[in-house]
Amino acid sequence: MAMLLARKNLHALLRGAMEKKYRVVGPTRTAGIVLFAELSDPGALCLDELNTQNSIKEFFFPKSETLLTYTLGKKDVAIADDFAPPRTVLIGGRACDARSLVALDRLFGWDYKDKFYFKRREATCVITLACDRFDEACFCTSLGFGPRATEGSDILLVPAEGDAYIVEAVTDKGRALIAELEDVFTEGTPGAEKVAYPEKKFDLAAVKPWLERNFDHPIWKEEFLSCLGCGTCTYQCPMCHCFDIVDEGDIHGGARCKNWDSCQFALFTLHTSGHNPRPAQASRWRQRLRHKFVYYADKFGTEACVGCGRCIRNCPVRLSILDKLVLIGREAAAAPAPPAGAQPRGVTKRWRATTSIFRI
Amino acid sequence: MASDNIYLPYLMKVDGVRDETRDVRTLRLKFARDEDAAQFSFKAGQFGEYSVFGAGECTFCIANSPTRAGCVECTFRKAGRVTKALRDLEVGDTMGFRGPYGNVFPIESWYGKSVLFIAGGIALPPMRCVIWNCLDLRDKFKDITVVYGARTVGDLVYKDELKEWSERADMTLIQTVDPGGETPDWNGRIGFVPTVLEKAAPASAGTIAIVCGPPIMLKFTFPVLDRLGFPRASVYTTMENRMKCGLGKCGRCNVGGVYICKEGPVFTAEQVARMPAEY
Amino acid sequence: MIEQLRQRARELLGEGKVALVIGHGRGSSPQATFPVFITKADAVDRLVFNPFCRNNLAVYLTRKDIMPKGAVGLVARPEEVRSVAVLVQEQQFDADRVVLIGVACAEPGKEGAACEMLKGRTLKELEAEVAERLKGRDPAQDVAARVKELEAMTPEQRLAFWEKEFSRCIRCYACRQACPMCYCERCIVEKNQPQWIPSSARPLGNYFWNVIRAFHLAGRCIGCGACARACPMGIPLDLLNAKVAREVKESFAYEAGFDHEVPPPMASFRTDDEQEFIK
Repeated sequence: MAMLLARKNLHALLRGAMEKKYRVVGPTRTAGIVLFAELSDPGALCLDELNTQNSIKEFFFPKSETLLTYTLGKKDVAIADDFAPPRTVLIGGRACDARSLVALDRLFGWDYKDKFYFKRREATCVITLACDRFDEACFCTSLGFGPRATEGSDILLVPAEGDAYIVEAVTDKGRALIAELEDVFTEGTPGAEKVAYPEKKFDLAAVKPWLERNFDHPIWKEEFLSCLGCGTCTYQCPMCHCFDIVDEGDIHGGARCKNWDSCQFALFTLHTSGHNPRPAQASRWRQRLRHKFVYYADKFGTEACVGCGRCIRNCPVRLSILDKLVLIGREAAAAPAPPAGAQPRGVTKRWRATTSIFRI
Repeated sequence: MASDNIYLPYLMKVDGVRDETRDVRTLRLKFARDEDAAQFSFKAGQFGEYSVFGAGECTFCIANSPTRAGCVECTFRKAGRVTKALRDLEVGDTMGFRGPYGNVFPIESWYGKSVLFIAGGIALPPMRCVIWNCLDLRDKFKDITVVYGARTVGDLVYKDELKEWSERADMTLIQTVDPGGETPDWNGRIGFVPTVLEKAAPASAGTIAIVCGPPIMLKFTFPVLDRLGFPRASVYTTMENRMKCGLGKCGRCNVGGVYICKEGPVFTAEQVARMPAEY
Repeated sequence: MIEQLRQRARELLGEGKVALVIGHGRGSSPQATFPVFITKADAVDRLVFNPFCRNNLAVYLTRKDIMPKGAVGLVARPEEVRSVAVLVQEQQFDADRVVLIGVACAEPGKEGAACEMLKGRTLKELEAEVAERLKGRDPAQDVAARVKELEAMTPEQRLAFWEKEFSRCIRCYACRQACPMCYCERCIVEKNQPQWIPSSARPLGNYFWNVIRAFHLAGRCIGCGACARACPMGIPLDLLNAKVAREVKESFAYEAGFDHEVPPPMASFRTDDEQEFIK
């Protein structure tokens, strides 16, 4: 026996949550694309697409968060920072989306705790949908987890034969929500799980050390030339968390805002003096890869990538992080790490033969 | 800060304004609320986020010594939107300050040694805090030497303090300006800081060196210190990457495995050498 | 046709006439083409061309971090030809800096549509050839029906329409980065003294940004649609730009990108202009 949610009861679940005064967020079709957004009614839920354009981070780390408001007096300033996020049910994210939350918890919680993020986390119950399909941009399995992983979810719905979801209550928060909306769930014998696993595409264990020892490598000069330097990959990424802090207002007052920012923008690291530590687009890509797979992993025990594929599907020039990870995986296999104490080699014949006209 | 909002600044009152050069100014700030002042403390090397409401936040070190607390001082060059707004502030105006952030100079571990400070241009402020800290604990150290240079005589900051240091018998101050930056009455040296340092050839045995300056100065100064025999673990610097949050979150100051704002800004030359050249 | 294209690229690289050829390369499927950068004559087989090659490659010509010294070969559809015409007209580089390899597809985006080489070699010849192909075409033709819908709205309805569309904007600037005409070293949205455009992804700033960008493209946009295709949030930026392009055509009888030798309408004036504003 297991707890089940009949597919036809999905809307009833959402309606129940709405009646209990939850804000319900889920994938919905807007102007031809499917986005995570607040649902006005259960019928707005759209599960047609494998993955939404935007990631769920928007509901924990919004594109613009007010950190405080200020009112300007003649010599004085009054500041206020009331913050109470709405109780939210977030449905329809994938295992990759949910996993990103666990990884982000570490960043927003190390030492200084970001209350905006954590209050939103506390106020939100995450109902994840295991994947019954994948596309060529998916690579969760290459990162050591899979489409029915429970990490980060409060409730996991696993599609099964018989037009139902198998309901796994993962956390107390999830159990509490199920208790609150118990009418829509049933007990029964589950049909076979319909979960689709993308094949593993690269060896993560080899990629990280390769990135560590190849800060200088012809790959950086040759492979990232087409990058336009926009922020799409980082903004659609559930894990990218870089931000800016700006004041916006008028002569009477305004707000200090925490806004998404991107390591892919030339201005991101530009010093006032004009010096830029990452002057070329390729150096910014290198940072993106090393930050995700080396620095973040070392610091927070997990990669800053969940293999959701949004950056790949949305890149205007189809510059795929997965292709590059596969390439690096091949390089790593061809030029394995030298034994301790030996001279690093790391550059394979293919690249040694390259005389690049590009610089970084 | 009593608040659970890590981005909420202390409200500060501008208590004093001093012009250092034509475009560099020092502000002395007092806490608007006594309870903030009472529980605030910091150590040499730490920094903060200074803000003008409506203009935004800006990162500078705390320029005064923790041995002379009771206020927070910052010295800045007018360059961007926030520094321009800071420059428009007058005594009595309200502004914001978050901090102190980052690690510290391990001054206690230098006790019994000589200390050599090397700074260029607007990079004296982060060092001034440490210099006064050491001078206020003068008997803990052997020789104290400051090598300070700027592009021109007009660009030297803290002129009153430079005068005081040059007159003190218990320390050595070597001042220099870049060739062409001297005035007719200039009696300091002429030349770039690394060159002047190499000529002065301070003893490296039992000496801690602290270097602060723009990336280009660091790149030329570290090799000089190598040649003078300073072990890299005895050479400290404070890194000035672009920062926003100061809290290890916003990602901007990330270089290699470190967030400068959290694991820095103070690093040894040994640690800097291990970082990718992205600073 | 692809062999002719590759042959041209091979000759240009082999004879040292260009150091780099920018073209389209084949991805995992014919639909998934992407920009490729070829520096060796024996690598020209990486080049493909089909109806799905939609990236405007002229965007790379002003990227200082990847452009080599000397001339560059560019696989140029009518969109690239017109983009290069505008860039040359705006003096971003000399016409002889870019060697155009003219190509065209009868129905871009349509599976199996015929593709061919353009005959012209020089920018002038290609401009004429492209103008001939597009003769009598409304600059808003591709989106004419939707522009008409917009024109039928009241100003209030139109405002509401765009507010809703712009509310999705995340300020990733993919529109700007994908646009060959957005080559400013410092975009107005990045200028903060004063802060012309609020940088937060909120209604006011989003409205400012998208509308001001459209204004900055008036008389310059060649209607390639790269901005709309790049937008990850599905904002119909092509509508906005097509509408502006049509206005420019009606007001000035001018369309961008057909003649690099005429002065651009927004950067020139005539003393005998009929309009009031000039007097």
